[in-house]
Amino acid sequence: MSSPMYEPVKIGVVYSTTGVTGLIESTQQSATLFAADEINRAGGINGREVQLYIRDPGSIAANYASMVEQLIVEDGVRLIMGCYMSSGRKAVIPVVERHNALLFYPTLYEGFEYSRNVFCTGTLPNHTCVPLADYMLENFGSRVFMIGSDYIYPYETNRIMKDFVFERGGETVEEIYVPLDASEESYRAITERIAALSPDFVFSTVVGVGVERLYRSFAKSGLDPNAIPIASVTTSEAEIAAMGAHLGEGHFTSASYFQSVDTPVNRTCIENYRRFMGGDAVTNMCWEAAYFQMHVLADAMRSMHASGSDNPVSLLRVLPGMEFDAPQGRIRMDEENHHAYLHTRIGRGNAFGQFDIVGGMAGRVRADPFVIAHTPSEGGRFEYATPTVAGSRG
Amino acid sequence: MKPSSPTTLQALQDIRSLRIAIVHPPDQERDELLGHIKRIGCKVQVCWPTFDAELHTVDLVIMAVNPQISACHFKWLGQEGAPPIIPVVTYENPVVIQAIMQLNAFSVIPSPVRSFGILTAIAVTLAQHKTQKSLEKSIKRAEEKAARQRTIELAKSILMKTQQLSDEDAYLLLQTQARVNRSRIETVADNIVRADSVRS
Repeated sequence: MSSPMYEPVKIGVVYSTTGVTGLIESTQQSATLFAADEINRAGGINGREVQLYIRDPGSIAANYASMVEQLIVEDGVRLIMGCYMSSGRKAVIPVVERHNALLFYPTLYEGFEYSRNVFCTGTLPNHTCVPLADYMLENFGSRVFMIGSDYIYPYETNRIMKDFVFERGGETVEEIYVPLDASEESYRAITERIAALSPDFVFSTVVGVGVERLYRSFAKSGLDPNAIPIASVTTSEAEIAAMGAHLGEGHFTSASYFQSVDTPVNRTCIENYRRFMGGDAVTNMCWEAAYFQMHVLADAMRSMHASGSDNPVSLLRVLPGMEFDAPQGRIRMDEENHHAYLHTRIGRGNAFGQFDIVGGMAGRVRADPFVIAHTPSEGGRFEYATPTVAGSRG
Repeated sequence: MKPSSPTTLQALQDIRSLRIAIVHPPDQERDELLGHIKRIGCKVQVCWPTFDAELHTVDLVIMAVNPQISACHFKWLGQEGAPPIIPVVTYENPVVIQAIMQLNAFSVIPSPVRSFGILTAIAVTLAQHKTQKSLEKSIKRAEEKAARQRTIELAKSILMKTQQLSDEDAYLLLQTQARVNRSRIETVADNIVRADSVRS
């Protein structure tokens, strides 16, 4: 019985369920529990049970690092699922590198990173920002108001958006960064400013609790999403569920996945997830990446015949190039850059807290974490879709 | 035979006498930096949140850089005799790289900070800073010389026109005037150019 062949596979789960980004990270934690349950029900990984070690860093960067280190040193964990904001990921990287563990990071971020010990399964700006910029500049105009949370991701994302606006001869009418825990009053002052400046659209890279405050202030300032929509790559079904569908309606988000993706794989997955959660659970892009990366890891371990080793050195050999039928569609782990080929969709918030998919890229898009000057997506590859509203109208 | 020179470059020999200011929030990375700079043997003072040291008491600034910094304007940066900067960087993406370029940095210290690489960053920065300063000086000198040459040419052409002299004789006249007045040839030329501009 003490043979490693039958010992459980230990996986650390380090998502915040409290603090500024607790809402969205809770869904990533649930997705991980759900995937682990599926894997175990199907007989585990080559007969080995998946055992999760769950921690809550409370949205504080340093906690991610200390908790991951503790999991590695005290609990013998070598595989970690987790992190949301770049600051947390940055703190964890030296820890997993020092101990030769692996981090699986299922959150969109700004790119410009490669660590041998990290796999990123969320989107990069070349997946989502480029098509979103194309779509918004084409359909609404090029006077853009930019608002972001005050940390690295919004700065880098806005740099890309500003280049696109400039190329179109447009104008960035204002660029504002707010503290992660800014009050609703600060957002209210900003939405009043938006009303005064009347841009063609607002580009938001606000994350965490600020999302709800921004959209609520937007409505309170009497702004109409049909005239001046908010475009975002971070606002998902989770934030809309928290703020209320009416506040998200008419605004745009670009993502690899929406709950409304109308495929058999996604429909079945959502059904099973609801059964697992015992209620009417809502999914989102971060949930989906957290879900599929567990299965990619399990498949990678299964592909190593002997014992389904969790040895990072062996996993590093098999993970690149792996494919998986995820809820968003078939994804592929890139052979070289530890990121993923992902799908791209643009959704418009509807009255049910879901997204009507209004466009997307025809195929999977390769992750390009080190691109500095983005080129607009070639016209042919971008497809406008007739809205699909699966799962929203009971 | 070449004259003998010390095996160790002066820039390296000078490192122990350096006065370094560290502009960095209090955390583990700063402790790591301070610890290693003390090991190297430099004098160090900590400034936080702003660089508030007297410029002439600092030879080098080591500063934490975040994307917000690109919006900041450091008045001391452009000043004569401003010390060089080594940015401490956590992210390596275009917004941060642009901020580093604005600071005119020659090298960076990556964060999380490791002791390895700090000494090289300091040495390279000092050497490059010195080279740049002397380049700036010689460019300034060359520019001044070119300006003087232009004045002499101008004065010569004025003399050639007004006194019907050849190129050579005009120059000889300038030279004689300078000798008689015990002044420099460019001063004589300058006077002629000024006088001519008043006349016309």
